Amino acid sequence: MFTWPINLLVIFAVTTPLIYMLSVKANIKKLVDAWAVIGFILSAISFYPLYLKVSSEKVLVHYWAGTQFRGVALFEIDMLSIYMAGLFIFIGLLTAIYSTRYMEHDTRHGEYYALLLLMVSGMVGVTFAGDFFTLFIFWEVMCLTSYVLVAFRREQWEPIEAGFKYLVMSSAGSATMLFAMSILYGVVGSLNFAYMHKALSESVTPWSMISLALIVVGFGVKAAMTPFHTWLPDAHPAAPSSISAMLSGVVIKTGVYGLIRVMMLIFTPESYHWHTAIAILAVLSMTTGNLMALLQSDLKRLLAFSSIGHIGYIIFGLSVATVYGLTGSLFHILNHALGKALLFLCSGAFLLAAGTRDLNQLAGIGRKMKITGFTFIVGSLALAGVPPLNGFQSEFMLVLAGLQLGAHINLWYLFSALMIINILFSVGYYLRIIQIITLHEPSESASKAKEAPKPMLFSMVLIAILCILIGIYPGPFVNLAYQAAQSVLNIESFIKLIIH
Amino acid sequence: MTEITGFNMLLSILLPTIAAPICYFGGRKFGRVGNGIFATFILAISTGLLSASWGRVSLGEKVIESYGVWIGLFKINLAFLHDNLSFPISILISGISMLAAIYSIAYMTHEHNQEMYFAALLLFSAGMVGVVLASNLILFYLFWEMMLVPSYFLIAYWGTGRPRIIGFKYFMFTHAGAASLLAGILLTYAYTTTFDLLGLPNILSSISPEILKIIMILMFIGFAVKLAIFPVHTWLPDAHAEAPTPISVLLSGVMIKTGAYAIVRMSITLFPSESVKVSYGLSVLAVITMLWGGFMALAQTDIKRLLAYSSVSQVGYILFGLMSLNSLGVGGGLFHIVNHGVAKGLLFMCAGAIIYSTGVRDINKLGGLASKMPLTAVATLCGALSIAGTPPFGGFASEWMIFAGGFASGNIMLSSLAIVATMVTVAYYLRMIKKVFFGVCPESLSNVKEAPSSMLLPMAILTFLTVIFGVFAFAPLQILYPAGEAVTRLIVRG
Repeated sequence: MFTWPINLLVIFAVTTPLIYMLSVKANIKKLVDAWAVIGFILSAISFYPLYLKVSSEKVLVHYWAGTQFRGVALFEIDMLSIYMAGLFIFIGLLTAIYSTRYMEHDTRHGEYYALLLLMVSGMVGVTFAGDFFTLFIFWEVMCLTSYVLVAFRREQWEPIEAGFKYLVMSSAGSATMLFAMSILYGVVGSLNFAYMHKALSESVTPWSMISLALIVVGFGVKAAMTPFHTWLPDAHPAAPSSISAMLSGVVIKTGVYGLIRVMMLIFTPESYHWHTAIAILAVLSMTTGNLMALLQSDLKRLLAFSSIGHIGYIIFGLSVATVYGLTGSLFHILNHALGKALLFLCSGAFLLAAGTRDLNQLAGIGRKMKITGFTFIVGSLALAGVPPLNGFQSEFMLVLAGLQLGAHINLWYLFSALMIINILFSVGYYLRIIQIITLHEPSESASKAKEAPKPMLFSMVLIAILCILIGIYPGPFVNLAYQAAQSVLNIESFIKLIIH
Repeated sequence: MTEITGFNMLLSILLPTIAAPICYFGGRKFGRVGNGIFATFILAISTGLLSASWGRVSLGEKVIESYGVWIGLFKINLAFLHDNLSFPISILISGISMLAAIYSIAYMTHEHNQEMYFAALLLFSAGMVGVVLASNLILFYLFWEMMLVPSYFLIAYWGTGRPRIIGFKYFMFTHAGAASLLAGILLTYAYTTTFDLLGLPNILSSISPEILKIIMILMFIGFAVKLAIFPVHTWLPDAHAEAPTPISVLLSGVMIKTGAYAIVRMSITLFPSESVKVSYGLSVLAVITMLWGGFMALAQTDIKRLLAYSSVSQVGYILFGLMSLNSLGVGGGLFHIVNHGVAKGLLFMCAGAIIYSTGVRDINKLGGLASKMPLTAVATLCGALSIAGTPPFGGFASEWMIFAGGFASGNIMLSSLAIVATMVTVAYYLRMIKKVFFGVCPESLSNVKEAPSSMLLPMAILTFLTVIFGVFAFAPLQILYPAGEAVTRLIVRG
């Protein structure tokens, strides 16, 4: 019905509570954890044939509710969808493996894994969607589950407050988006992306401009683009660390995905000229994120602000809107997802071992937890854009794309220079956390810490290895991002399957 | 284009990189000595692999090893280059790294976490060699930063004084320089759509001079920070003085020379006509750097800080030689890279030996050590005289060439000032030697003994080299002089 990767995720999500009941009755530990991990693995396996099919056919149309609804309730899967969805499932799998030990001391595992699986299925669905109806359904599945996951530790006050703030802001964003969709439906008479492209891409009307603005706000809230970012620094630290890794690593990227898809396909840059506006938002985001991160003393809050900065870099690539810019954006989505997920997983390991997120109390903990400390160094340097790690590769592509556009529109020299200065600033706080975590003398709470358990190490070490590998040999990964970027720009093949 | 032609250079970088995690994880089992011997062995192999190009390079050929496509999207190939310019410097780097590894075995006895130390040392060396061998700009930048990260950890973790602040300062200065360099590199690509160092000179000559000027300035800022030219030199005295001594050897001896190498390889080679325009200004800056470093060294009492300021001063000589833009001066500048690398490495090792034996860094609290540590005294004297430009040591030959080049380019005034600066050099070295080795030996130091032989061995080798490079200066010059000639030929044409 929803193609196998999503089906499997949903099936496993629905059965997880049952399995949990069973495991409690039969007193088998870790059964539900294993079940969720198997769900992710099966989904990843079933994802592979889909990838092969899309890479040969370029675009795949799938009516998930039958063909009687012409133009709605359909999936339209291209390389961009595949690229994003593959990343989501991969990070989801690693998070699930990590959670098997990290969530040990919590109860309600049935709910936790069901929500996690559903959230990933929602994210995958968003990237597959071929019309606004489908997109919105999966969007809400993702949002609702993530609200609950942020507030999962409901016995404490902080997660509840953060979750509530997140709920209010994100719902407002969704409502804005829904409003835009209704306007667009009124103008075009269809919710399908292809029809909208045909109707709107060349005729700019006040209504379409208004809906573009509303959609940017809607997706911008999810992507935590400044000035819609204020929920993120509260929500991401308050969530369990595994969920923070998902939220900062991939969930905010669905907002970016939405922006890329809608703005490149429907509100084409050639007729809507949004370059400068988006570039200004991008520069604002990176500057706010990086400056605020410099001031934090809570490790997870610092990482959350750094996510806002990185969203700025990614949006900057979109504002360039060339194939190089988009490749840089998409490649940075991958690299930031890996790096930030790694750092949140590490901070979760520190939290578990020392019971605090405060940087001063975590001082020197990397000396006690050597492997975690090492992966933490790798992740920080990767995000700081220090070669030969992966973050450098995508950041150089983004700046390069900006400079190439600068040769035509001089303003982009300024934006690119601002981005370079931002990267430089960001090194300051990454270096600071590296120094505090791995170089200082261990503090009182840190000196008791022991190395993280194996399943958690597995996820962290695997991502760290990927960070190094992509940095040293980026070729194949850049190619994937390049194919995705090309398929974004290849609008013809996207619409010809719908409009013959 | 994608044909693979040999693996020597790739292996010389890859071996230390692979050996680093082995050192780290096996470190506990090997112990400090085992780890040190392992690191030395790896660096010796990599030096051997690098010298395999000797035959072809000495005939004036370019040895290019290409291993196929690295990032297809930007048409970047993975390739390394050995020519008259990169060959001697890469040998110098990996050779001195090897000696520093031997030296570290005894020197790091009292330090913690030695397995990580040797791993970082290996990575540091691999990064430096990579910078010199890189044949395209992105690869160059990659290694440029790869040498920064391990050296930062080496300073911030094992340094003395306030290592974390100093490490932070070092990282931020050089990283800011690197960001400027990156902007230059990316601008180059935006206008030429290639990163290839060998192909660039032809393409760049068709770009408008204004853009070239911006690119050249951006790149030069990056190199100048690494090379520690006056006003951006302030990180050097802190970092070099407070790093563990074997790392000071590498930092002062070879790492800052990658900046000089890059100036020859890029600033002059890629932008010959722009270089002519800035050469006078940069020569002035070079003389200021010489004098500033020299006078500051005169005022120091900390032995390692004195040597660090001396490095600032010597970097001025190198830049002065390069900016004369004639074959004599450039050749001299390149030769001085080698001579200063050897001599300053030697001097830092001597300082380390003194600190190891006495535990004192303040030259006012030292004295009369000549009879207690005779070998160290001789080695220090050789190193100091070489840097001061006294015959028959290596420094004499290269400084003579630098001044001759300066006069030949018509900067009579500046060249005279540069010669005056050597007197300052002699002054602070003689002051240091007098205070450390002669005079009355304080009570507390009456039982001082010579440093262990594993520390004396690398010192002996370097002492030998300072003499050899002076007496048989023609041998290294056979390789280095053509490199200078090749660069200056571009100037004439431009």
